[in-house]
Amino acid sequence: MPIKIEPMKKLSLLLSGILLLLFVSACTSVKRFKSATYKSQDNTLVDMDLFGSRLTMEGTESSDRNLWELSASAQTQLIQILNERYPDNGQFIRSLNNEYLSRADVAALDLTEKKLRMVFTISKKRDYKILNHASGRFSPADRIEYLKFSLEIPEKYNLQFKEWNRYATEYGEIEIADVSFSRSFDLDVDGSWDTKSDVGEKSSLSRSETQEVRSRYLKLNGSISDHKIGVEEEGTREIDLTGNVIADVSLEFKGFPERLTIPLYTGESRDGTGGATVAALRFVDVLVPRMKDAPDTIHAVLQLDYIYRHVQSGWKTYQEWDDQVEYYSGTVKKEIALFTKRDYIPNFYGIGTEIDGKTMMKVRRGTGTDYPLQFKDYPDASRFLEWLRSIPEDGSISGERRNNDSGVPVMIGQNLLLVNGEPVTMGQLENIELKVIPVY
Amino acid sequence: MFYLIVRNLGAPRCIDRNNKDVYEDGMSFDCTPHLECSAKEFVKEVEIICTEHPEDPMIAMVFRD
Repeated sequence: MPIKIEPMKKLSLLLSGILLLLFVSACTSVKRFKSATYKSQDNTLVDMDLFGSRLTMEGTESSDRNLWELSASAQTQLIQILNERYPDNGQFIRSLNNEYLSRADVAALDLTEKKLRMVFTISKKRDYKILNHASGRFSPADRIEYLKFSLEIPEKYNLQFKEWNRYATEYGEIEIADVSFSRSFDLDVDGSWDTKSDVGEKSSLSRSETQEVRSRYLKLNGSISDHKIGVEEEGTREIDLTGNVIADVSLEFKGFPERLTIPLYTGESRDGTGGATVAALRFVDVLVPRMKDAPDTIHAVLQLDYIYRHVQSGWKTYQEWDDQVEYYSGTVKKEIALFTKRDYIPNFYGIGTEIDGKTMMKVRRGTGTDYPLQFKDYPDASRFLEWLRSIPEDGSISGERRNNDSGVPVMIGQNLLLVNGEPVTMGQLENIELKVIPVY
Repeated sequence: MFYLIVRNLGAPRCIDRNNKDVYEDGMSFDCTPHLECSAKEFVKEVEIICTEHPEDPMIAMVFRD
């Protein structure tokens, strides 16, 4: 016999079904936890370290300008012209590697601006031994819900932050070029990530829609001042902030002026062979980091404040709405090694001797002022020293003929070479054990 | 003879010399030259300005021979 349900009962069952659905929906998408209490401060639950860092020069460019630096169309045109002019293979290849543009960019060399990439690792204490202890502070569902960290460089280093370039976590990445940023990362219903730059866009009126369509999973704030950067992260909905974060920033040292010597060679070969000779000396002013001494390591102070979400019960389910949550706050503060001397010291080299102390060669310009004879890198200094040693026995430089024993000081153009502050002759140079020496 | 020496990145540089101790805070000097100095006795520290980069004054040391 078929069961007959009265219309009222039908309606009642329908309403009950709808209510049940609403209840389940409310539990899973609206509730964040079953209960929450703040317990205490515990500084041992989370740790943060600088996993790695890399310091590079801002806008590093090669100072050499040969054919391969030109655009594709310019290369094609020039190769065609060279092919017509130099059908001989050897001449043609040499022409390709000639310097076609002057080293004008050396004049603008500023070694005080650097890019710094830092990889931080944020870890939480995973103590599985106390998993089911009533007083334990660990469960598999625990997560770092909020963190705020800062990195401060002591003023004594004459080093300051300029701007953010990039900030990346495992949940998202922001390309930024500003002194501060504020972003929230959302997950669309189709699974694609979305970044909102203005958190205020989501008003209370659109909250229900937001709950259905997208779920915000990470909020980020960042700030930067002369000596300090700060980042604030908040993970929502099962987002654990444990993991690595990458921060790219621009740094700037205070500057100190240096003058570099650039020898201008004549001849076909650039490698010091084949009769190349120094025709003149050119001088370029550059800025290097200003620091009285050069410490082996630049240190910074890293501070992390966090909120740890410990799930006391309810951690057996992935959903968080049934969790009984206990919050712990904590602080970690430590000094970290940011980068080393090798990263920030310019690789300038001079020529001199280390017998009876370090003595560097100098050059007296036509104006009568002495400057250090220093080169932008080891190859430049080495090539110049090789050239000095290879000056023919008749001492001919720049077309002027001088004898070794003539006692005439070595001059390159209008510039006089000095050792110990005194002009030096070719004969004297031969008796000094000159070598390439780092300036710093 | 008095010598004005600046030290940067651990490397000393003699940028000026004078028969008298004329060096005072706030004076400007060309910091790129490197003169020959036989500095023996420390006299004092002064805050100078490098004309090539006048934004940030720096500490220099006065020595005598």
